[in-house]
Amino acid sequence: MSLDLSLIQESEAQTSGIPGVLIDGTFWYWDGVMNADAIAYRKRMHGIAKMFRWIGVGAALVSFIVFVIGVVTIHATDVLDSDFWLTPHGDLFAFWLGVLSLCYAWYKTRVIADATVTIPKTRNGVPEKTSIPSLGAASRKQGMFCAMASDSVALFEEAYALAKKSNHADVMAMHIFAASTADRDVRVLFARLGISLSSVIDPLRRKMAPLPTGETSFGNTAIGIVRDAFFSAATFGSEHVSGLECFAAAYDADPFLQEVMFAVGADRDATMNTIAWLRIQDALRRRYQDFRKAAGFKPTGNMDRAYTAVATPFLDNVTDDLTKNAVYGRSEFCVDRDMEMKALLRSIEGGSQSVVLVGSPGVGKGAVIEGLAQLMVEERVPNILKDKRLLRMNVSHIVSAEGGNGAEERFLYALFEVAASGNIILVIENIHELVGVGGSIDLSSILAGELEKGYTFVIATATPGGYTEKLERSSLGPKLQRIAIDEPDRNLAIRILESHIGGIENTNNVVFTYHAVAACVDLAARYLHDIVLPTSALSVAREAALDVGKKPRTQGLVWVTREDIAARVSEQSKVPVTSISQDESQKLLQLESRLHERVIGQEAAISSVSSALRRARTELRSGSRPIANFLFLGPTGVGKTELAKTTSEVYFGSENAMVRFDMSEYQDQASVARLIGSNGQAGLLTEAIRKTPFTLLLLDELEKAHPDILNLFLQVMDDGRLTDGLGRMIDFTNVILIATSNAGTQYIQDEVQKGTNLAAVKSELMENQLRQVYRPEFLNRFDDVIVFSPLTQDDVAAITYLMVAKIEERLKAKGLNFQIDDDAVHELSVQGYDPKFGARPLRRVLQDKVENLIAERILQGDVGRRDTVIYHKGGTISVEKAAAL
Amino acid sequence: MQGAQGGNGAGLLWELGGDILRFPAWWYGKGLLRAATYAMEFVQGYVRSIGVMTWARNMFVPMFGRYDWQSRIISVFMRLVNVVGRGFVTIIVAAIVLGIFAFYVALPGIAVAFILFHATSILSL
Repeated sequence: MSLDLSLIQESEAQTSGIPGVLIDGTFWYWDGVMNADAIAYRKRMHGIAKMFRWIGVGAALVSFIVFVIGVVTIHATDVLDSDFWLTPHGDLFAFWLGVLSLCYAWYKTRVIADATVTIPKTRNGVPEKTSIPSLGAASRKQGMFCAMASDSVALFEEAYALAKKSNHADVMAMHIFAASTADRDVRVLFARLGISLSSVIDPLRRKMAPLPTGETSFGNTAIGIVRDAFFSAATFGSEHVSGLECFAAAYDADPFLQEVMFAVGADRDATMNTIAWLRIQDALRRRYQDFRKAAGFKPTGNMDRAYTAVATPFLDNVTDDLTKNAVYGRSEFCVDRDMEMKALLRSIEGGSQSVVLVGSPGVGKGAVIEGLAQLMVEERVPNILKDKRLLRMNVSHIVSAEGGNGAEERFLYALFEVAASGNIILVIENIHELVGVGGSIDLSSILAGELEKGYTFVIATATPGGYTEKLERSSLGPKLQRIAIDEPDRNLAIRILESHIGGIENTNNVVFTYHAVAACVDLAARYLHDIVLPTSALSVAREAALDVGKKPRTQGLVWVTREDIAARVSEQSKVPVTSISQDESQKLLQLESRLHERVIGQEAAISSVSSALRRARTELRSGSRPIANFLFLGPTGVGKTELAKTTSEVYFGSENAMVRFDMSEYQDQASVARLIGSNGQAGLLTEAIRKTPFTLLLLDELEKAHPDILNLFLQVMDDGRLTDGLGRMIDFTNVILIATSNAGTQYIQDEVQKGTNLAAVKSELMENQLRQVYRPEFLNRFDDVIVFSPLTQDDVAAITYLMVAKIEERLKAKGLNFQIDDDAVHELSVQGYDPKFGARPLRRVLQDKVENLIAERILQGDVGRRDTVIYHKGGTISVEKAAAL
Repeated sequence: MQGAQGGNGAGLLWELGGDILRFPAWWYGKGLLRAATYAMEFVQGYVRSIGVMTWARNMFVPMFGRYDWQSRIISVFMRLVNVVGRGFVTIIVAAIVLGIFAFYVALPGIAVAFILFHATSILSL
């Protein structure tokens, strides 16, 4: 059957060249034919090929049945006789016909399978997208049609059929996209993204309707998409071009498709990361198969293949055999750490140099080492690592045995066994912990001395702090080549997490959406700071899966959603990150009125605080600073602290939910250490915020704090973080920082008495008055400096009502009723008002005039349960006895 | 999946007839090559898994890191035993694989021969 090249749109190819992909010098080009005749013919031939195979199987079956019946009924006893097989008769004719039919069926099966060519793995570099003017220009060429999975061919045929049905002149990305939605992988992708097919297909139909009409052709646009799909498949090491790659190429080619996906909640990052997820699963499956094949050849005992090694009984007790673990499938695949792995192998190959992987806890140093163990199992390593065992030494086993005595001897003996065995590469995790450990001789010095002899080398890990503070300065430091293992960025962390999700899903019988996976990374990066990515995200994913897996099931498939992840992170970090409920929305919208229930006046302050909380909860704020930094200025007793307390009660649940520091207690320089800790000690402030990161931090009387403390808060307000005495990074980004200060009080009172506008007062305060107390850069860090105006007589009257209500509440708890009329309240408010001290004298007045009198009456036994205490103007009290029961 | 290509119903019969002829051509051409490669890889894999070549290469390297002369002698002897033993097993495995391969290759031919034999014999009766 000859190939009709005229069907490949020669004219287009000539004008724009033939697009293709170059793999190791072979030019792969599109050689498929997409027209109605070709599609019908292909389908027919495929059907016939399958039919012939089944005919072969059927013929074999019938022949063998005939043979068996013949043997059983007529020649039962003759079968074991050789003469039977050489005597001509019909049963044996059927038997051999069956054998031949079976051979034919096998031939058809192989031919159908062999029709698809495997995309070769690149040997030199990466595949390259390119175009050539004509096929003759390529020295080696290969059609890519045969590399298409049968599903992809069906997909392109369906895309053509869709265009043809609407008389569209060209098969466009939209047709291929629409056709790809029938693909199994693409449906999984939609499910992972939480998108319904109809929400995407409807806008697609509307967009496709006005496309130009004409004789449908599979033109350059479609061929370009096929080429891109082939390129991706080759780049990611797939054996064939799958439907998913066709989907990805179509999505990438048309901005409208990206917009459609964006409209239903899948932005480009989300879509590409979900595509990457499915690719990773496929790659892991292939890698697992290859790995299992290779693992069969790796010895799992202590010996190398040539039996030249020496038994290492002591080392076996104090180490884990990572290569053996890898052979038995106990280690997970290391994903996307190619650069680090290459650097590691280069260092080792370069000169048997010992290396130290430096990275924060949880960054994946262990994963890189396990990845190395897997490469050693597959023997895809430099010669120096081939046929070797990778042993991870547990330093604490060596140090802590026998009460810590003889650690040096044990360590030396372990190193002696390494030297004697000749097939061991030692891994020492957290090698900085060796520095300063041991009796008379430091263990790190012992190791440095042994490494100097050159008979072995070690692969070590260290934290950045441990490396700079201990290792770098020790004699061991120069012996180790440093390889940095950095925290992965968002997309890399997502891909690493995606590679582990399969295992988590299987263990807990749940399924993750993409948004849940992304939330694990985003929320862990933002709210969990004790461990870095990807481990922090992995632990969130594991715990959320466990939570969801335990829930009662109403259906077979249980999805882990973003909300489940948010709930887990909320519980762990004590920061509300779940979606805002209807109740909470109302609470946030009515924040001002609720704050006014306790704080009288001070509109500007209440409005600022309310807005800050709303911004924080709707995530419309900068993520690298505290939620808000406020400085409350004003005379004493005007409600500065009260507003902070009220905010804490209304929003954080209780007055005690806030973290309060009276800065008059931190007036000397040593106070810095008390606040943030030092020399391995945690600080009061840092520890409080670490335990409750979502809180209101109240710094009372800030002007009394030592200037060094102000510098500390300068950093908090700017970066939202502090490092405590234990070297931990404490996150202040979920804190509302409120500082109160009496600085400039006299000026405020004087100006308010003169009737000066509050804005003018604030301006003067900022420009002159406060500069004597705070540095300008410090003042500039506050989101708002709020001047609390002195209270008026009316304000104090309103406060009196609030305070009287509190007395009533306290009496109610004792079973007593309390009554007071407006005149009496007014009288108390007048007595309690002092322009200099705001509402502070009022509390004293209420204590003296009301509470003391009631207390006396209670002690005298005049007041019983259910009685009503009535306070009258003039400061007298009467008791109204309750009716007898 | 064939890369080609257009056609009509007239070509169908040719395709069907040709398929019958292609069967022996494939079996003793591409199919034979594939079976031979598979058999060879199987034997190679087996040789690798029992490490007979490694034992041979290290014939005079002392086992278990023992470098005294007594151990060296024992080691050479043990390696010799291992190489001979493993080599013998390899030969047996290779012979079995070769036998299966030969049977596979000859199978359609044997089947056709017996079909013809039985058919002609029955017809001549």
